Amino acid sequence: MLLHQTYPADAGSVARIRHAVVEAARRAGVETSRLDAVALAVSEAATNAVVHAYDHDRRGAISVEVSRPDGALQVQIVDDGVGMRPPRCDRGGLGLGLSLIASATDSVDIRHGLDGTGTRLIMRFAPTEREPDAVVSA
Amino acid sequence: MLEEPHLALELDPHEHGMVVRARGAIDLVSSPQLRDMLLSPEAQAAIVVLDLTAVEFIDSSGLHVILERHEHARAADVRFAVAIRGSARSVQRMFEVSGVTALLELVDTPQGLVGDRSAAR
Repeated sequence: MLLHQTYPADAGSVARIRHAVVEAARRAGVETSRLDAVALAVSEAATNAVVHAYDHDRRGAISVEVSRPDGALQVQIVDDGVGMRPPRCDRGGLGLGLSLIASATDSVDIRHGLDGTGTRLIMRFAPTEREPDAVVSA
Repeated sequence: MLEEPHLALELDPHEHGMVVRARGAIDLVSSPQLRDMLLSPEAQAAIVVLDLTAVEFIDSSGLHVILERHEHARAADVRFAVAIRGSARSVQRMFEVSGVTALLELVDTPQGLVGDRSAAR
């Protein structure tokens, strides 16, 4: 595990999470050309967790895990909120964020807790530069 | 990227329109600041150009604000463009992969639309 940290689920955490993951990836030797994609995917994932995962009256936490299995970079953004919801026009849609994550990563997997709460977004970035082959599964 | 500043915005009135100059990062925490500026009375003109050439990072939170301003401009029958030449590669790629290049008027620099000279304030 390269990084395992927990942040409050508020807007200010998005930039902190983005910076922490990019720095961990850089230290782990991830190609500089890939760091932009890592920054975008992580920013979108953290934004989804902040905006969609928690009710207005409940502030939760976002857990961030970064590892390097098999030479790939794996970033997991975990929340214990109410789960992803359909796009809400007042807060920005989920659709664009998820499609950007798909375009920036080599694969993305979304897992929900058994009771319907909590979301684990698992993003993988392949070790070498190649065309993204994104797979989105719910 | 690590020392990413918060978003800095300034208005720069030109001969033929208004330039809204942005510098830094546009994300969930700073996009409301961009929205407030773009919709403020002081930023309104017949031609408005959002200059992103000094922006290092933007995500979908920022794109939503830009699309909202685009819709306002259409409704008000004014011209709204976004200048992205020289911005970070990730910013330019963001516009391409999100598909908004087909919706927005993108220009290399603001000068072509609003003139070279800053207007007297």
